[in-house]
Amino acid sequence: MPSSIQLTGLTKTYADFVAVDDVSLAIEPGEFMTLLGPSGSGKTTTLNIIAGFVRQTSGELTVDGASIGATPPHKRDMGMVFQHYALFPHMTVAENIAYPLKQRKVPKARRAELVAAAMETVHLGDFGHRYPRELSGGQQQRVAVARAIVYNPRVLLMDEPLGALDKKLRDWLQLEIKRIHAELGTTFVYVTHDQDEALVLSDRIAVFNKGRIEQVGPAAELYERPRTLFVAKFLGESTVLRGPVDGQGLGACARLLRVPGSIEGRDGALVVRPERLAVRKQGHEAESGWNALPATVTGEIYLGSSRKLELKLPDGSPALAREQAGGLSEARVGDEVTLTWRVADSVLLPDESDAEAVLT
Amino acid sequence: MRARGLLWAFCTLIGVWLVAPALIVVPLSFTDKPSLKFPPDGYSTRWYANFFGDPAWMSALGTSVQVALLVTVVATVLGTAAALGLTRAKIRGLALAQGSMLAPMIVPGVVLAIGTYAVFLKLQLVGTLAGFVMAHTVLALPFVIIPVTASLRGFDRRLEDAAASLGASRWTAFRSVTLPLVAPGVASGALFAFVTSFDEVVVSLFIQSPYLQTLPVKMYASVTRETDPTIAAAATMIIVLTTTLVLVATFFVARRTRAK
Repeated sequence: MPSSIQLTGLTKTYADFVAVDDVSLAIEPGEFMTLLGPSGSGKTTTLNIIAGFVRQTSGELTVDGASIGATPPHKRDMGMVFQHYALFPHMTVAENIAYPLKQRKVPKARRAELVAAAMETVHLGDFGHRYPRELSGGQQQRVAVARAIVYNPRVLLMDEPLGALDKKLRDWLQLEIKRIHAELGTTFVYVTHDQDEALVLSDRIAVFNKGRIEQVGPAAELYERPRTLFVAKFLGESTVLRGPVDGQGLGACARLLRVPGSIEGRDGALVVRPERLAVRKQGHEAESGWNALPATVTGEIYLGSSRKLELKLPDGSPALAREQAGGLSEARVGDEVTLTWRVADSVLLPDESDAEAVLT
Repeated sequence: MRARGLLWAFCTLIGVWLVAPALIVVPLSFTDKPSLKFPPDGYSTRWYANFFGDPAWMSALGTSVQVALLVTVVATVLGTAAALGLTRAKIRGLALAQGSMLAPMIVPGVVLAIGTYAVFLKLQLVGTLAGFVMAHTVLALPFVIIPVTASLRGFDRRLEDAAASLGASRWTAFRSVTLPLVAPGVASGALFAFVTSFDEVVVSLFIQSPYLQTLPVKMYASVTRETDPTIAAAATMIIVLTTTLVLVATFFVARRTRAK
């Protein structure tokens, strides 16, 4: 039976800064929850608080309703996969995986069975007698996972487990982790700064920024309906149009753009995802329910199944459009074009100029 | 080519200069005359027979081995604990603590000896086994703290977190993960502790009594009273013992390092 985890008002302050600031999060039994954010956003500290390596300054942490905020890490019954694997170099692969079983006084014969089963689960061939240093990075990562799941912990924590691997191996191991999650059904809490990884793996994603959670939700919700500019910019690419908002729309590039919904008396940011921007011939008139802006094509990136067009808007700010192969426009670098998008496909958010600072 | 030859000659000279005083006692110990004449006129093993036949020499040797073994245990345990504290504690005055623990390496031996003697007189520790062990432990501690601290600095503390997450208490994690991985440093510290105690003369001269003497003290007494080549036999055996210890240790460390 997988466990639920509840963080309530979790805060960790160090002498001169707040690493985790009033974080509340309910993780469902069996859920794959990803803590996503740039470095220093508090996601790793939050994971370390759940694991028990870092003691929260205030706030409550419960697993299945029982408070564990004061329980030492070795009594929390959680598995953890570390960024650099943290395999014991003086033990063989089999000894590493058997270590948690030994702590639990599992009889020797049963230990061997469980180790074999865990190695089977992570598709780790006949490596039991090797030492960690004799394995490749990807194989070591599998040993780390096997060691963390062999005792069937109630929660599996992962701290950027693929961070040290090359791209191709990472893509493959992402799918492996997804498979293992499906196979075990255990609650996973996964920390990463890689948005693609978060999109591939997660049931839900919690986006961290400056020690706080900006938004929690399934990947599609965060992508389609971000609630803050930070989330919009951290997850996926987008074109952002900034300007004052009134009842009529948002003023940008000497035009009044129509917006979905409204925000009163503040500067707004209109966010449009690249695949929602259509590149039309210069002078194309906006249909009803659409916006149109003139732009200049400044760059073209061919990606096989699609191409990206980099554009410059009249006020000098950049825009990004993505066209699927088969639906390519005739626009070339240097062309003057008109960009159009459906009002309903854009998102209007309060402008926070500091979202920029964090990302650059 | 010429420069290379010169370099070789120079290095050999330095090597001889460093080692010769120690090695010269080896032929001396095999002399057949009751004098420390070099080179000896004839050879015999009578001074070895004398060494092993004389209860005074044997008891000094026994005391030295006993003291050195006890010091090895006490200094290794305390030194390892101290190194742990020095590398991990987050308190003020850490540098001061480290400085005072390493001080016995820098403070002149005779100063330490006088201080120790004064305190031991008051506590009636002069000429006792406990007194020797305590005094030598002070001298041996830095030799444990330094290599163990170096090993701990190279130790990845995430491994302890990993052990904890897998269900090991702090003590179990230390015993099953930390200690095996810093073992080469601890072993080298233990070896130096043994040799430090076994070789110690200055402090031992002050805290000895006619009833409890270590081997170096007995040797010193012997050379000041009579020029009996038994001392050369004793010295030769000390050289062989310490050299063997260091060679064996080096061999094991090298093998371990290669295995990694």
